[in-house]
Amino acid sequence: MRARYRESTLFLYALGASLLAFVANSVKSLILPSLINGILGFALGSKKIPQKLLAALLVLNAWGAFINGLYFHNVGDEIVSIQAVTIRSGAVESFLILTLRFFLIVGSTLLMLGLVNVRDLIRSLERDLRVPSGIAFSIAYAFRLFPLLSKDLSEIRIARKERGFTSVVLSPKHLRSILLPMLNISYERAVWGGISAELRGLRLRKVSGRKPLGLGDVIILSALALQWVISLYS
Amino acid sequence: MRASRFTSIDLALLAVAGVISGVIFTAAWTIYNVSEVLAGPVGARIISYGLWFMGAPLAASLLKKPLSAFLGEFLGALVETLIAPAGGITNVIYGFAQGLASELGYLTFRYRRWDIISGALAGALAGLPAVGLDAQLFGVVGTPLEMSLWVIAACVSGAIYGAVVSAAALSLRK
Repeated sequence: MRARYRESTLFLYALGASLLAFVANSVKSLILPSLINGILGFALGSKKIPQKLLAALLVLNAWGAFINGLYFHNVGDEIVSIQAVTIRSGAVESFLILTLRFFLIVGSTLLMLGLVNVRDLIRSLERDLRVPSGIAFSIAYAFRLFPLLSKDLSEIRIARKERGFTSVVLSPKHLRSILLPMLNISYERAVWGGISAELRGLRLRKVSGRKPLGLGDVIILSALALQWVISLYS
Repeated sequence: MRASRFTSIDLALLAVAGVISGVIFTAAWTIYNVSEVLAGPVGARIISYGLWFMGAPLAASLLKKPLSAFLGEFLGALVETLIAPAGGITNVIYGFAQGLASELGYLTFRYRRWDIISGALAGALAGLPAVGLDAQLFGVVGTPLEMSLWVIAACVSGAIYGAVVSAAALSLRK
């Protein structure tokens, strides 16, 4: 038997786990929640998000955490000295804390993204968390626009290349020249999309009743509460 | 002001602002990481932070309604979270705080100015919560001089990109 859960419960879980990353500030308090979320999240997330992207995320984060530790927290006992660079205990501790926070935040988000699809999540946010229906429509419409905008962007890049311009944004001036055509196309599309939604009765649409809490919701929320307790009392 | 006062066209335009911002926010991670190596913490903030504050002036310049700045930034952050989990759901927390700060920019003018100046102010104000949240989450806490420089860099970047995106959005309605 599958434990039923609301998609919005996973959103709350990811939000709660991310807030825990803000609150916990030692390796000891972060290690257990980070490992749980990191391992589960990366295992589930790799089904939906390309593994190369996840690997790049890991490398970039490790590099950023290392630079951050070296620049801002390089105090305490000397651990290792490589030519002119001396790495001290404070830098290592900072690196560990940031890496664990990364695992907690990204792991819990990947856990959410691995278990729900975006459309169901938006529907659940509207139905169970009472996100205003207009906002839910905007989020849903944004995801409908996403493939269209990606196509527009690639066409703009081709047009720029053919005119001898770089396809990569290097300055605010370049950014404006890419934004303008994208906005022009999207504006027209949005106006007609909005009129179409209005004519089809967007305002009259009723939001369905809340889905009752299932066993899955209780398990997910208990797991979050348990992680908070373990983290705060360790 | 209730969100229901937005028309369906406004909501569709908000979606446009959200998805364009979400894509830019996602790209900003790479720009930030590269610029931090090449230009250091202050340079990286000037080059990239404003990109993360563009959702608010973009939506406000398109919609010209109260709360549009907040919703544009927040929606962009939500789209960013759902399409590429680089910052995880903390993006939503950043988006919420930055959106509120940018909204203050338009509130300062009592929602009467939706031009490049108010767009630049909205972008600049978002720099304050961004640096504050960086300090809390990533432990990026320097000396008072360094902190001041980072806040100024983030605000300057926000003002530049805010002005650019406002100019682009406003030119549509001419």
